[in-house]
Amino acid sequence: MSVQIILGEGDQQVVLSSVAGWGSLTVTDKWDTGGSGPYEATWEMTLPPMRRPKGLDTNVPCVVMVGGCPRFAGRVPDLDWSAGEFSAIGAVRESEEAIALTAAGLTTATPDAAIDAAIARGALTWKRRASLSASTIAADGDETDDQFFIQALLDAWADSVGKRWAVNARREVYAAADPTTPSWFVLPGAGEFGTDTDLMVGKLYARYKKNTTGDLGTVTAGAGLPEVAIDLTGRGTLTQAQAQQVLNGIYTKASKQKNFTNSLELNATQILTPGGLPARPYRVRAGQMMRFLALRDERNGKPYTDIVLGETEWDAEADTVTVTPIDMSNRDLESFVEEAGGSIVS
Amino acid sequence: MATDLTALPPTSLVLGSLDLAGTLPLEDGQPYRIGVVGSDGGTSWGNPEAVVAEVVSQLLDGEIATITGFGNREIPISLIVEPVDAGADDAGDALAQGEAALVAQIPDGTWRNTITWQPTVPGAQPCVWDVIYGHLEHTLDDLDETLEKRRTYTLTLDCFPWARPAQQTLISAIPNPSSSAAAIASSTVDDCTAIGSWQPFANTTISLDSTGGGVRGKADNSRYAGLYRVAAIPADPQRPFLRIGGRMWFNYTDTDGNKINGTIKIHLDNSPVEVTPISYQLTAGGYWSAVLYVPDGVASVLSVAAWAARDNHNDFAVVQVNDLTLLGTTGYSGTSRQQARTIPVIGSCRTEAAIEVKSLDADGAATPLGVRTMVYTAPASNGFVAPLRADYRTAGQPITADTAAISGAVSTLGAVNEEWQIPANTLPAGTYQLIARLRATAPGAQGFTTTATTGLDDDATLSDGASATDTVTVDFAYGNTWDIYQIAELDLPTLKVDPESTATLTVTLAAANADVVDLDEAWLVRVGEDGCAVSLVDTSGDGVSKLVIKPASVAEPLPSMWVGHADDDTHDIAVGTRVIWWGSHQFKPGPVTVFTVTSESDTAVTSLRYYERYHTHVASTVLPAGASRVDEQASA
Repeated sequence: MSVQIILGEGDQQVVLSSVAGWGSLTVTDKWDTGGSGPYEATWEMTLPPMRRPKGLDTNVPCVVMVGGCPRFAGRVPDLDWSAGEFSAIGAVRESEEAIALTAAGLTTATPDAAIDAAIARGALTWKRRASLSASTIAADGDETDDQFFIQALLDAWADSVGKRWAVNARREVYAAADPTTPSWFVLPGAGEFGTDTDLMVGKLYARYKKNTTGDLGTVTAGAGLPEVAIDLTGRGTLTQAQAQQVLNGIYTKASKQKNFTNSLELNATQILTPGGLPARPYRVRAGQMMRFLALRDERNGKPYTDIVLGETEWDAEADTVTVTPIDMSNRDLESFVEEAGGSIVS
Repeated sequence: MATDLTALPPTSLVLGSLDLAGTLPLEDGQPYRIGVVGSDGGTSWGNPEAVVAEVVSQLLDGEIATITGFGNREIPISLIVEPVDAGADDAGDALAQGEAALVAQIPDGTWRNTITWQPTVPGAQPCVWDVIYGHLEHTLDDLDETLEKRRTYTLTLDCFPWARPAQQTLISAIPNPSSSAAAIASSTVDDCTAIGSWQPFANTTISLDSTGGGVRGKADNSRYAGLYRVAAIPADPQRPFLRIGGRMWFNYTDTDGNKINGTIKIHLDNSPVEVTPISYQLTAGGYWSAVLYVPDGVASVLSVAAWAARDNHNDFAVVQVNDLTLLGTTGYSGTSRQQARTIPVIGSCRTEAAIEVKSLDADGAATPLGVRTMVYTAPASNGFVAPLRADYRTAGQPITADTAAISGAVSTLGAVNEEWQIPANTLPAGTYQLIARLRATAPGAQGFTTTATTGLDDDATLSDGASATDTVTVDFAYGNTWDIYQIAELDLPTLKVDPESTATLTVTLAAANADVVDLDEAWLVRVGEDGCAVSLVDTSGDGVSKLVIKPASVAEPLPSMWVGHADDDTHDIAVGTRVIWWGSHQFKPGPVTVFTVTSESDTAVTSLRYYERYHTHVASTVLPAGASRVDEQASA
């Protein structure tokens, strides 16, 4: 593989293989709440004591290139040369530490304004090629009482429009719904997905603070037992439509009766392009759909299983990719509710 | 005195400069002698150990595995150290000095040494192994030491897996004849409008005509059709390259270019050996073009045959030649700022080769390479399809000739998408990156969408199979400034096609904004597979006229890139921040295509410098013209 790790930028750029041998590169992508795209890159390299490349500091920018195409972009929070194990975090994770503010320094609940201002003040290294949303997600004015991070803002916005948001290896922020057509096909015999059948939820009731009066209102989703009460007042004032959207989001995630229980490791000879040719594992990334041929779908009885990839880990040395579906069973109702900014009333 | 490892007496074994087999004259005053105990004593050349990766396949029985590389070989050597004069008073000290001389030659991994074996068999080549580290074990034999005054050792060396000759092989691609090669007008040998000197092969019923834009031979009931031209082509020192081109088709009576697949075989002067062209292109519609290196001209006969990929049964084959031209340059694709050369990698095992791109004019003076230098390498069997504009363009906005462009022409991306068509079966399956030389009218972001589809020209129902699309936004830092960008990553061909299929892969490039971005040339390169790799380097300014890409090797375990002046090898500098893309170029035995783009130089010459690698015994090979054996260069 023609893979290079590049640290630093401009005059400080260092192509890592010209400094020392490195190996065991993995690149993890995510397609999930909290920001998607290239999430983490890890590799190993050891240098003799006293031999440290100049100009590389904490938070040094890091890019993994395959040929002329970036596969990962982010930064290395801490260069620990003595341990020899390096971990870079994806550009998407800058949102965990950047506050949603306007250029004037006021709090904002408008995704575009918050991203643009953070890029302008250097908090984010992203590029915003297209609008995510130029409208505020707050029900009563753009300025909010509390400061919150851009990650939380984009999660709330993406949930409300049924999308996920991501930053790709070119540092471009975008949002998209889960794909519905497969990008990759997996030959029979690659493995099986286990499923479990825990029923999490019957009917959901949510209390929220009305934007019109400040009183409490109720929205519901689903039917049957068990019934669960959720407190959404922590989201501030909401319109009824917004509250319904949030609750629907929780219900969609929690109401799946069958969830997957495992990941699968695939190599180049098992994955095909839609045209029937062998695919390169590094091309498979979270957020794409993968069809497992001749593997009965336990969720709906189809003779094949379509999964949206929630996490992929490409191992450059073994040239394999480990794929994890988005619908994993290690999630519970509580975590979905918390992600949506609410809490369960017991 | 350094030992000449290329001229050792038979049965010599030399570690660094230390004679282990007693076949070389003793150094002045050397009090000890070292002898090797042959295979009876446990001496062996060892063997490289394969690193095997199992491939998960769909086979019901059996397994498939691939070898990803080879580990080092371990060479155990059984040695005896004895004094030159066993009766001398200081014989014991001579033994100790012999041991010290041995230990001094054993590397510990921080430096390297070589062990050279000159086999006993007459005519054998010296075989050199690079020693990474080693250790010495002494076996006490008190009787031997007391009576025979000698000591026994086992030397174990951890060595690079493959044997090599003592010297490196330097192979330069055939250079263009002069700095003004691009300006030397081509010279038509035969315009192919009349039958003239052409004759048909006498295989089956074959008819010959000169209609349809060239001399054409049609053989009925045949898998192939051939023509030969009985006329000398004189040597032309200014124009040593012969371009021969035409078309071929099989099976069908129509001549619209559909349903074609086959290969062209060229022979010169009745030689049974097929000529390997410097470059060969097959474009959609069955059009083919080959460039041969004929510095001595063609004495009498040039024969061309088109072979169908499979037996046509009772149909026919047609070969047409419509172009026979002598050229001053190999620049068959636009200008000679882009050059595809086939360079042999001699040996039987994978090697590491340094790639050198130099820009020299006719007087040997250095001329600048230009702002960017791109190097793409791929095994020649890999269906090289790089320059799209010059060779595969089928639609697009009007093009304007531009002498400064790589392709010789420029178009402004706009209403009509740029479209290229490539025979799908010439493209090995893999991930390809579309690379283009672009300029925008003003700084800022510009989007590009590339779409690829595979289809049979004449069968609409089979044309709408899988497609591949990629959209990339490029940030142009400057207005009106050319640069090279990667603008798509696609898995191609988009459909699996039969090797004999006539399906065409169509690639279109659309710009998000019309009339703001100029396209010079576009290249499809395969990366990360079968040793294909691409590098792009900033070679602007400072009179940079040379680029060297050095691989990781035993001598230098880290790869490096260097720039310098083509007429001066002593002042190269290693580059870090000039590197834009850095490919892991790999060299398996056999011909390798080295494709270079030098944004300003028409006279770049590419060479490879490597150790021929063999399993255990080095073979002698007659070097091609322009190649030589040279000592390994120390790093600048």
